[in-house]
Amino acid sequence: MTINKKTDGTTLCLEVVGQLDTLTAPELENAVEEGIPNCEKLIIDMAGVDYISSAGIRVILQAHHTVGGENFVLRSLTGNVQEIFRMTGFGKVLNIE
Amino acid sequence: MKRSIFIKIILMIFPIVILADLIILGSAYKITYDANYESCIRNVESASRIAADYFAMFDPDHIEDTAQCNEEFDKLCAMMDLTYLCAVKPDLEEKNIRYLSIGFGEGASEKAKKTRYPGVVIDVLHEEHILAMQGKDEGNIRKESNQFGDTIISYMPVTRYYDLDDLTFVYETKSVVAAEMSLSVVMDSFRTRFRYILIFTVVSSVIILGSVALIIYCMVTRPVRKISKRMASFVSDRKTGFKKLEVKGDDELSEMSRSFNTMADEIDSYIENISELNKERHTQEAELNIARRIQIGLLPPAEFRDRHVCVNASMLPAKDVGGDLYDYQVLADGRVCVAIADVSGKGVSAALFMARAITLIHQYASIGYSPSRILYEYNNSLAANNPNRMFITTFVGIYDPETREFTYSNGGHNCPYLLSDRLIALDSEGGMAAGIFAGEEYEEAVVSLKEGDVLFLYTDGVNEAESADGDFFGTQRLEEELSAHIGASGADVLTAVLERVADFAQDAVQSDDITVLAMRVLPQGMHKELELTAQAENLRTIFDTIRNIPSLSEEGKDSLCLMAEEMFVNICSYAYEGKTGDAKVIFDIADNNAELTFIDSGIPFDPTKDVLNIEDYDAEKRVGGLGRFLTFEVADAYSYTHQNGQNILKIVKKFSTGDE
Repeated sequence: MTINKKTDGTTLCLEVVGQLDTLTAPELENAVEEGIPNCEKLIIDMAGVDYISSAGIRVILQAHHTVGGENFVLRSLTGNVQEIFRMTGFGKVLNIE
Repeated sequence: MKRSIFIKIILMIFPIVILADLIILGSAYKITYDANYESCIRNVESASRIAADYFAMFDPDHIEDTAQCNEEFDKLCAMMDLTYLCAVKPDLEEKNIRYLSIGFGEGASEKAKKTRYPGVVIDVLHEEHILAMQGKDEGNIRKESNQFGDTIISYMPVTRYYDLDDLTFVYETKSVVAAEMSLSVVMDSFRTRFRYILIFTVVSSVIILGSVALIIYCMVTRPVRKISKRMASFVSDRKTGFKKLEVKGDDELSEMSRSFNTMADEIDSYIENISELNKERHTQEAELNIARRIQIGLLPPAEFRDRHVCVNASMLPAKDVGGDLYDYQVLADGRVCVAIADVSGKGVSAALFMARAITLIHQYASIGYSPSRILYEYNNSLAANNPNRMFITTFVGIYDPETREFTYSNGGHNCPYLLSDRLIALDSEGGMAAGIFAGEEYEEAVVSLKEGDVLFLYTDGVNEAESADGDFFGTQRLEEELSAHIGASGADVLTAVLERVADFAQDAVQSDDITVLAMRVLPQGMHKELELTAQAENLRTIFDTIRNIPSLSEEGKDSLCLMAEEMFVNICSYAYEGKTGDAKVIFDIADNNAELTFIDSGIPFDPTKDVLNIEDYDAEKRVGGLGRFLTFEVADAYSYTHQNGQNILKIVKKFSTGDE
């Protein structure tokens, strides 16, 4: 899995590419923890993610919690990932674009 | 109202009657007018003659008592319908006339009475006066139109006179008598009479016309109308029993009625014949339908699937019953035998032969014979009792799922195709069609199949399907269609070929049975066991294993990965309480069903119990259970047991496959 970081003013965008599972989730967790102090708004772009497990969901929920509802955006969910969010009901809570 | 022939006839007769009337009246008028005129002339002439005889009593040169003569003339005028009657003495030299005596009748004008009197001289001398003086006493008539209207005047010489001196008659013409008669008076009476003739003619014409109309109506129109009414209601009356038309007399109408009665009788018998034929045909059709159902019942179902193969087949008979057959069966040892055959000819005889053939193939195959042996025995059996010398082309093959080899033998049938990586015609040498010559040995060939391969068997109804223009479908089109469907399911291949054939043939009549069969080698299941140390890194091995299962879709793989990850990570995290331990993951992948089994020797834990209620999930507290929730949401079934110190968890996921 790879993570591309893009900063636009106070907005940080993390583009995740690959599988977001138990093994790779900590990487995203680190990237989020590093990024949060330097930004007001956090975007996680999921266009390159076609698989997500509970470990990945936990990281995203954690980020959502830390940054605060309005300033956290989850972008471009692929079909499979979208299905998981629908299944858990988190899709309704998260700010998804 | 429609214009009946009756009205038409009457309308045609009417002007003829009018014309006849006009001719009759015209000629009657002319004849009677002329007759009247003649009688007028005769009357006026005889009047003038009488007057001349009377006037002979006087001497024109010495008339003493003109009054007596005038009176006599007046009487004659009244008696003979004269306007006036006069005796004149013409003077040929002076060209005048002198009135000697004059009498007036009815119709004489007052002016004439004043200007004409005895002794008056008028300077008019007509030619008739001169002729009369010369002695013309017949036909000396003058027609005149004067103030008295149309008149005729007769001039009569007075050929003698009475000499008062000698008291004898002297024969010398000294004077002329003129009698005038007004034609208008006479003709008026004639016209009155003629009016009666006219009325009589018109009335009689009307009566004649009416009688003719009545006769036509009674003799023709009414009977014709009656006949036509009967004819019109012939069909509806037939149900209640058709009453024959009455035949009266021997005219054309009765002839027509008689003909109609004959026709009705004949139609009746025809209809009865036809309905009997119809009944027979219905019975025959019903019997053929039953035969067709029985024949189709001889064939195995159009679709079959077991663990190894999927068979799809179709037979479209050209007539109600056909001579094609297909057969397949799973033999006792698990091998699959498929066959296709085509009897020469069509219809009931071909169907009967086909019934025999399919039974033989099925029986010989179930004994366990090889394809060539099946054909050998089958040929011998058929040839032994085949008085009609019918023959049947046959292809038989047996697929062995163990070796994935397909052994086949061809008895004169179209070469089947194998849809593998490319299109291959199974055109190895075979033998002749079965049924004629006993003892024929058949060659056998073997081809190796792999998962997803499709065998396509067909009869010549496919490649010899004709278009409306008489072109054949041919093998080239068939091969194109098959090549385009390499990798497709058997059902899709059949549908594609049959649609292409139907598209080619359009509305052309199907001349031969069309039979096709496709056997697909199904992707086989997978059984794999992974013995792993319960460490998260080993997830990669699990992921790799799942990602490499060929028969699964990406979506299916994602689902399996998710379930496997969550359950394996659970074991890694909790089963051995921080120590290392082993975990075993078993994969059982069938065509449309995946079963994952997780076995560990850690502390007993039933993950299927107390599954997270997702509403209670709290991201901040990092409460566990999200993974288990997802797993059991995705799974179609799961079970947990604890046996021999081991936690055993089974999870089942079902998939829809591409073959459906």
